[in-house]
Amino acid sequence: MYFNSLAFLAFFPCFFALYWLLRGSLRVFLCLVGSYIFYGWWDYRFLTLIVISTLVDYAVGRLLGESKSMPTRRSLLAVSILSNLGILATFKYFNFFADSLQVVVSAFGFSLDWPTLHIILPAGISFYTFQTLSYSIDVYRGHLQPERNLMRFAAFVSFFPQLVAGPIVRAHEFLPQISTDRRFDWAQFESGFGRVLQGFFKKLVIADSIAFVADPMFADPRGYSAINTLVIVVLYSFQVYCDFSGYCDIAIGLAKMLGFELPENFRFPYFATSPSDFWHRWHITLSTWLRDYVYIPLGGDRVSEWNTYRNLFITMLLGGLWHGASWNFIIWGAIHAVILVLHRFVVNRSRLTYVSSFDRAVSSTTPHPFVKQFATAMKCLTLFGVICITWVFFRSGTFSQAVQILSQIVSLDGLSPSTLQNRIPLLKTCGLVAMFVSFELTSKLSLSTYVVTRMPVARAFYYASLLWLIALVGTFSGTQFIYFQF
Amino acid sequence: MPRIRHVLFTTVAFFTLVFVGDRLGATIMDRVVMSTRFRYADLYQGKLPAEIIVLGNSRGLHMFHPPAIRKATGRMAANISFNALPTVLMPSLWHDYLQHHSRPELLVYEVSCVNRMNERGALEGYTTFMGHSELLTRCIAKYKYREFVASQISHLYRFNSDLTWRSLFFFRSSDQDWIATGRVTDSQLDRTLDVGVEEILYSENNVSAAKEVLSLADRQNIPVVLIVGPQHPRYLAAVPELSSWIQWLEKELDRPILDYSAAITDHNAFADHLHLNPEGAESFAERLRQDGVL
Repeated sequence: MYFNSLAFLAFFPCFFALYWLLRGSLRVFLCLVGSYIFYGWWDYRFLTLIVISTLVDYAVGRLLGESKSMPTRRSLLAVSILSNLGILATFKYFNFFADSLQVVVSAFGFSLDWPTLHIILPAGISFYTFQTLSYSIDVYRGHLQPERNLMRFAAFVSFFPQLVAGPIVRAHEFLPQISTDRRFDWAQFESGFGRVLQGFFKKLVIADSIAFVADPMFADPRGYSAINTLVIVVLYSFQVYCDFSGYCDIAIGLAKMLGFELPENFRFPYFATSPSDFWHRWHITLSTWLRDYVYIPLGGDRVSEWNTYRNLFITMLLGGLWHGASWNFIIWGAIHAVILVLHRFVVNRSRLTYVSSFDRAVSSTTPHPFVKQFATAMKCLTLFGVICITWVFFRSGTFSQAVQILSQIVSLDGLSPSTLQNRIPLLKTCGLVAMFVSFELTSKLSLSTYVVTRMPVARAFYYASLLWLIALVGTFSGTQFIYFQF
Repeated sequence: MPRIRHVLFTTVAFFTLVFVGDRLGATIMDRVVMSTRFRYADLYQGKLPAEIIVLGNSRGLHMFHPPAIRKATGRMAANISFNALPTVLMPSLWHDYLQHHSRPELLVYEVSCVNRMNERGALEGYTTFMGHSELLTRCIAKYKYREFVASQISHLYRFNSDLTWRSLFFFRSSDQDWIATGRVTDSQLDRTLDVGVEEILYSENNVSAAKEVLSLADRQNIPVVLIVGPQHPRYLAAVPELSSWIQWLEKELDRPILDYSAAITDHNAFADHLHLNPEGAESFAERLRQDGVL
C-alpha cells in the first residue's frame, strides 16, 4: 500500500480509530495485523519473508538470552546474520552477482551457465532485514534484553509506518514503547498530523513535480542542452531528498499519531558544510547503523590513518550496495567514500593546507560574522555541487549514461535559457523548489518552528496552507517513493 | 470534558479554515486565470471573435496559425485547439464558443485528433475552466470521475493543472500566436521512429464527439471543412494505414475529408514529426488559400 494512495486513505482512519479503541495486547495484535495488511497489499507472498525473518530473529534472541557459552552465542549470531543476509542476497543481489560473475568469467573466454532468478524485489527488504539484524547483534552484545513476547517483536519488525522505507528503527528505541500502552496525547497527535502533511507536501508538491521534468531526461538524455541537463540534475537532488525525507516525515508523523516516537532520519542535509557532516544529516538511521555495525567493528578511526581510510571505504561501499544491486550504486558509494577520505586526509593535514587554515582564520580570528556566514554558505554550495554530481550516478540507469549526462554539462553546449525543454513545467518546478528552499532555511533558523509551536493560530494556518498547496500544485499520479526499491 | 471540547473546537475550526481558504483561494485563482489572455480564458469571456475558427488537438494548433491565416487570407482566425485536447471535449468547447461569440463564417476541423487515444488523457487539465461551463463539467464527470469528485471537494484542486500554469504564462499577451518554433532534426526523427509510430485508433467515442461538433455547426449553418493536416514525409511513410482510416472516417461522418497529410514535403517546415513550425504554418495557410479552402 502506498501512502499516496486511496487505499491508504481508507486504511489509516479505520486503523487509527480501532487502535485507540483497543488496549494492551489487542492493540499490539491490531498493529501486527494492520502492518501485515499494509505490506501484503502489494503481494501477500512477500509476507513469508518478513515472517521468516521475524521468527528466526525472535528465536535467536530468546536463545541468546538463555545461553552463556560464547561459541553457542557466536553460532546463534551467525544464524541470524546468515538468514537475514541470505534473504537479502537471494532476493536482492543474486541476479546482480550472477551477472557480474558471468561478465568476469566471459572476459577470460569462459562461459557459465548460471541461472537467473525471476523474482520481484520485495519492497523495503533492506530496511527490515537491517532492523532485525541490529536486534540480534544488540542482544548478542548484551546491549539489549531479548524480547519475550513474539507478537510485540513481530509488531516491531513490521510496524507499517516505517516498514517500507525507514527510518531504520532499532529495537531499543521501539520495543520499550510498544511494551507499554501508548496514551492518546492531543499535542503529539497534532504534531504528528502536521508532520504527515509536511511529508505529503514534500512528496506530492516538490518530489513528484520534479519527477515530471527529470524522468524524461534520465530516461533519454540525448538532445538536452548543457543548461537543461544541469538544471535537471540540480532539481533531481531536491527530488530524491523530498521524496525520501517526505516518506520519513509521513512515517514519523503517523507513528506520532499512534503515540510512538521514531528517530529522525534527516537534518537539513543540503546545509552540510563537509562530507562527514552530510552523512550526519542524510539518512541518519542508515549512517548510524553502518557506523555501529560495520565501521566501528572494523576498527573505526581508532586504528592507523590508512586503516581508517580503508574502513571508511568499506563502509561507504556497503552503504552504496545496500541501496541497490547495481554497479551504479556501488560507484555512488565509492565516490562518497573517496570524498570522505579526501576530506579526512585534508583535515588531518590541516596545518599544511590552505582550506583548513582559511577555516581556522574564519572560525577564530575573523571578527565580522558576515565573513563567517559567507564562508559557511560557500562551503555548503560547494558540497551541494559535489553531492549533485554523485546523484547522477545514483539515478542513471547505467554508468555510461551517467558519464553522458555529466559530459553534456561539461561540454557547455547550449547555455541559453531558450534551449530549455518543457519550459513552463520547468519554471513552475524551479519556483516550487525555491519556495521549498526558503521554507527549509526558515526551519533551519528555527523561525517557522518557533512561530508554529508557540502560536496555535499560526500553526493552523501553516497546516491549512500545506493542504491548500497540495490541492493546488500536488501531483496525484501515485508515483512510487524512490526508496521503496531498496 | 473541557479537553474534549478543546479538541472538537480545534478540529472544527481547522476544517472550517481549510474549507473557507480553499473556496477563497479558488475564487482568487479563477479571477487570475480569467484575467489572462490564454485561449480558453478568452473563449469563456467572449474575447475570441473570429471569422474562421480552428478546432483540433496539437496538430490543429500548429497547422492553423492565426497570424499565418490572417496574412494569407486577410481574415480573422481564432484557434481553440490545444495540445492533447481530447476529442470528446471538443463539442463542449465548440458549444461554449458559440454561446459566448457571434457566429463565425467557417469552422476548420483538423480531424486527425479523432484517431488519438488521449480521449481521457489530458481531460483533467480542463478542470481549470469547470466553473464556466456545465458541458465541460459533465464531460469531466463522465470520463474522469475521480478528478471530478476531487474538484468538487476542493475547488483549489480545479486549478491543479498544466492549463492553469500556461494561463499564467500568458498574463499580458494572447497565446493565439503561440506555436512551437525550431526545425526537426534527422536524429530527432530517428528517435521518434525508433520508438514507433502512434497507433491509429478507431474510437466510437471520438467519432460521436466529432459528429456532435458537426451537428452543432449545422444547426447554426456554419460551413465546416474537415482536414487532415501535413505530417513529416518520413513519419507519414511509416503510417501506411492513414489513408484507409481517413476513408473509414469519411464514411462514419458522411462528409468529405481533405487529406493534406502529404501536402508539405519541405523538411524545414516541421517543428517535429507531426507539427509545423511558423514557416511551415505560413506556407500551409497559403496553400489552403490557393486551393480555395480558406
